[in-house]
Amino acid sequence: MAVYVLTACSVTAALSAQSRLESRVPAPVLAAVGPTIDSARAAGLPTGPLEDKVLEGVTKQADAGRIAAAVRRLAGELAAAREAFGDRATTRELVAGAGGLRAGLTRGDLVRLRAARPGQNTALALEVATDLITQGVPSDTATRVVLKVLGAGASDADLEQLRMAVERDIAGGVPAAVAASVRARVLSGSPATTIPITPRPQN
Amino acid sequence: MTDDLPPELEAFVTGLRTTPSANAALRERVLASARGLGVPRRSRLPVPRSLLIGLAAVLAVLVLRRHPEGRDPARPVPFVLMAPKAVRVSIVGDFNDWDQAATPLQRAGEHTWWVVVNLPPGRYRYSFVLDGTHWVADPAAPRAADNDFGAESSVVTILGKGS
Repeated sequence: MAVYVLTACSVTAALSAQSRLESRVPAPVLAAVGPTIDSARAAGLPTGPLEDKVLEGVTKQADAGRIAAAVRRLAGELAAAREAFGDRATTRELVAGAGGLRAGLTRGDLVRLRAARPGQNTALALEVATDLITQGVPSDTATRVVLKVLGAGASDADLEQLRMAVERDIAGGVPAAVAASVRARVLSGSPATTIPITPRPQN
Repeated sequence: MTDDLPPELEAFVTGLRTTPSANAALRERVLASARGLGVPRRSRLPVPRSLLIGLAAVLAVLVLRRHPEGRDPARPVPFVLMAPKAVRVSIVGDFNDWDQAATPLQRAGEHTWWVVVNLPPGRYRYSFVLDGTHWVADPAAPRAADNDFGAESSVVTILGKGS
């Protein structure tokens, strides 16, 4: 029975990927990305994110070479994330890890963030760290503050609250690194600190 | 039960409730014919059981892939964009195969466009498309870390019920 299910999984994955891409993707693009997607599938990496990348590239009217390069890069990041997390990582964790690497997290950061939530899904922690970086928080600070709130037993809702609070603070003129550090301190139960507000320049 | 019925209807209803007596000779002929046909006790399908199990597994996988978050249903997520000069706006992303025709926004007033998309818990990259050519990241959402094609995307994270 297990053999049937595994076979069914791989067959349906291949078929659905084929139909998803073939209906929308020009032949030259399919030819350019096919080997990468096939290799990823053979290596046991999730191919859905790679297909999403292809469809995004096609919709944004990128040429085949650029789409193929983006897909290869993402496949490499997914593979690196799996190296950091191990074979039991979920697709979302791998995608989150790949996004984190792209944003500036190191492989060591991925390992530490994963280890901070043993036995639990760490995707959101990685995603929040990535979002903090894209909002201007230095990557080492982002890792540190997420580890801090995880160490205090933060739930997914707490992590999301951290992300939103930092976003609000930054929009209000607080330097990104300061906002992240202060919000993490508050969420982790450390003594609150007044956030220094720097008025944003008016254009 | 028939207390309230007029007498003429009561006789009719009583007749309907009575099991009709079967013609004994006819009954015997029918039973004899059935015995002669040799009706099998159990019908057999002309395909091996293993193939049926395989097909069932494929169907199960297809269903699970279509509803990967079956334990945590999709929830309505509003997307809003201020685009006063746009004639049409759509949203594309990981949730609709980046298909410009899949999810058009509706205009609300002169400046605002909106749509509500049902999304299962997860994280999705997306972007707005104005008039089919102009790409706009959502100003109210974090930017995606990757920008492989020269037009920024945003990300939205939908937490699960247990979060």
